[in-house]
Amino acid sequence: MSDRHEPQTQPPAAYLDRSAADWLAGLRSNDALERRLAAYALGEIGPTAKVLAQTELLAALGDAEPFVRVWAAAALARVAPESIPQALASLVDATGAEVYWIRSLAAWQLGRLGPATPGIDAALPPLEALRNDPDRNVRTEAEHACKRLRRNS
Amino acid sequence: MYKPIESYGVIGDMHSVALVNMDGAIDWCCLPYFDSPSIFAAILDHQKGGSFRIAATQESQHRQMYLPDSNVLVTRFLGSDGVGEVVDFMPVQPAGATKTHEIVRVARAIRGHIRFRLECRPAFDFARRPHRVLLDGRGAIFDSGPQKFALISRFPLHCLGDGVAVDFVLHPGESATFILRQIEDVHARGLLETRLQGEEALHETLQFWRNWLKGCRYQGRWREMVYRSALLLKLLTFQPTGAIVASPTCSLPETIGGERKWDYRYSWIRDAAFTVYAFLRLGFTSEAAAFMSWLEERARQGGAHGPLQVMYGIDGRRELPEVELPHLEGYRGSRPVRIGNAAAEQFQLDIYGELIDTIHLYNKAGSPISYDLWKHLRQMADWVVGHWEKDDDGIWETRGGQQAFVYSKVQCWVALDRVLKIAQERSFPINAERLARERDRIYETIMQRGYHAERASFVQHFGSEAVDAANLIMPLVQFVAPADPRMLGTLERTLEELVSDSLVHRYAIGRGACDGLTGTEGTFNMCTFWLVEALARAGRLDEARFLFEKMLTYANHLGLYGEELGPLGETLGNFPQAFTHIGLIRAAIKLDANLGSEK
Repeated sequence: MSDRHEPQTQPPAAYLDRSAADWLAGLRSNDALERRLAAYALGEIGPTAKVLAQTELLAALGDAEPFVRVWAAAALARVAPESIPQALASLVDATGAEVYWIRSLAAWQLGRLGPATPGIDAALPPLEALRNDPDRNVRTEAEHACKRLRRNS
Repeated sequence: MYKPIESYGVIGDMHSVALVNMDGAIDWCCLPYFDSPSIFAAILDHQKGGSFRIAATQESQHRQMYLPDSNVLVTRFLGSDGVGEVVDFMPVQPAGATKTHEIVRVARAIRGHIRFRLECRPAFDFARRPHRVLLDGRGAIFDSGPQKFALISRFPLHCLGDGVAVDFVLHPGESATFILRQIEDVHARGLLETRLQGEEALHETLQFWRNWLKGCRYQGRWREMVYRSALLLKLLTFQPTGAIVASPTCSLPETIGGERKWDYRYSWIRDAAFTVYAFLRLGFTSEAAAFMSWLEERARQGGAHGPLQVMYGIDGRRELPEVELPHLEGYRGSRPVRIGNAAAEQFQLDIYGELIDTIHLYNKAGSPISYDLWKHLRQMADWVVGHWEKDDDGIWETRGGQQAFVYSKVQCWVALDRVLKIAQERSFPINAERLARERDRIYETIMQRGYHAERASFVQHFGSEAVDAANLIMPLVQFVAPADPRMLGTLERTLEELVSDSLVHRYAIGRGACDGLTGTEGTFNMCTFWLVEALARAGRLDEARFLFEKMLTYANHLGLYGEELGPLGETLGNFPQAFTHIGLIRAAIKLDANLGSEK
């Protein structure tokens, strides 16, 4: 079973009735929650936002807020598949975050990328390590992610 | 757009409930309690009322089911590209625990990649109180001042007007958990992660309902329907006090656009007594014990018209002022929406019979009653002796003036009869001779003035010629033998004049008592089940069984009933309704017993 192309239906050209350009402006907001939402929205719009958003999403991998970096990485992997290596590296890096919910978020996003994502095997060792994380939520997300990524292996 | 009343399922935590439509929308919920102001009331005003929808965006067929033996609801979206589900429940916490009221919603992709949309637009206090939306790292907070709720979501939420929305795709086998939780403070540190919390809450909630249902003694032919009815009745009990609400909704109309619509989110002595009776018949005694404690408190307080009031708030309060909400258009334009209930002020004699009959059963099948409760019963009996001859507003709570309703007199007879029986069974001190004399006087009066010889039928009230379906209760409470010619005649008149395609009207509007209201109404489900039981008791078993099976076809897809049915089989009135499910349980037990063990 292919897990690569997510929805069978055509990805939307806009997200919640706002265009990619509108959302891109949010990626430059001073509000970290707005940047997170913008990254997510661009990811939902998908490859049609690539020309507009790839560079800014790549830049967002260096955002000051760790959770914005995670959401930007997840979006980048959907918007621009050729940037998956950078997205993966950013997510793997987040599995070592100090704050538990960033580790949990990173584990979840890695699992959501799916087993067909090129280079995803590199995520398995850090995810395995998170299965022994001191936090139960992190362990649970890591468990789910490992299960999902090993599905086709 | 308004959806059929019967297209809803119900979840709850024995403090309140939420109605979940087959399209994934919660269109009714009052929090934290049944009779609190609403947070979602789209069922009463689809534009202003507020709702919380999670649904697959693909074109799909909708299905709903409960996880077995539970009040955990699954709404399914079946599309050509895949299958998605939303699992809804309200976690149940042990009595006495610090209660956080929550609605947990778990979206799942079962087959294919499923795109869902979540839209949450609360409208506080029946859409009378504005609120602000604050987005934070865990989701969103809806702050109306006195009430605050957090919607916890891993997916980032986007503000849309005074609500929030998010689109998300779930991969096959993947789930996402959303929790709507009452909070005290917008700055309070709270839950960030929902998956583990949701999984544990689901496990505990399922365990709770399944363990509870294990106590059910019914093993007859209609187990699935009886179990669902029992689960619903349990859902309508208010855990902190033992009170039982008649229905968790208000102002759903008895005819579309009609005047007849009331707030049922309170505890009627009559409905609660019937519910406890049904619980006891199924083998559940702790609910009965909790209700008895609640009742003793009410008896201590007294009422304006007698030892008890007709109904109370679930916390025991006596004032339930009825007000109209003109800013809401009502279900399908059925104005006015009413909250509160003026019938609380009514004088209804029958409540003592229904109550003491249930206590009689509790004393035998539950636990022997205390002396203090006995003293209250004796006081009630004395009061009935002094008041049974008065006119009252009757079981149907008519608003057209008081009458000498036969049903009320029968229940006065039941009250005295059962008090005498309890006294005899427990050797409680009582002036039995006086009570027995009065009981017999009631009996003879009903037989002389409540029976119309030419019509060969008991009638609605003294001096009337009209029949009333309430009189179907007579053989059920052993007032009259099921095959007594007077009862058989009443059955015939009821079948002729009140029954339409096996469904029973309470009374013929325009004949008999003026109910003080305009318009018509549907057939009354509980009366249909009473007819089944009356027929079964009269030995007309085939007829009773056919009618019962036919009535089962009017349940919704989950086995739930409202108060009434319209001509197209549509549900009318408040939903779901305890009365109907009590009638179903009683009729199923009686039919089973009379049909014997052969299945």
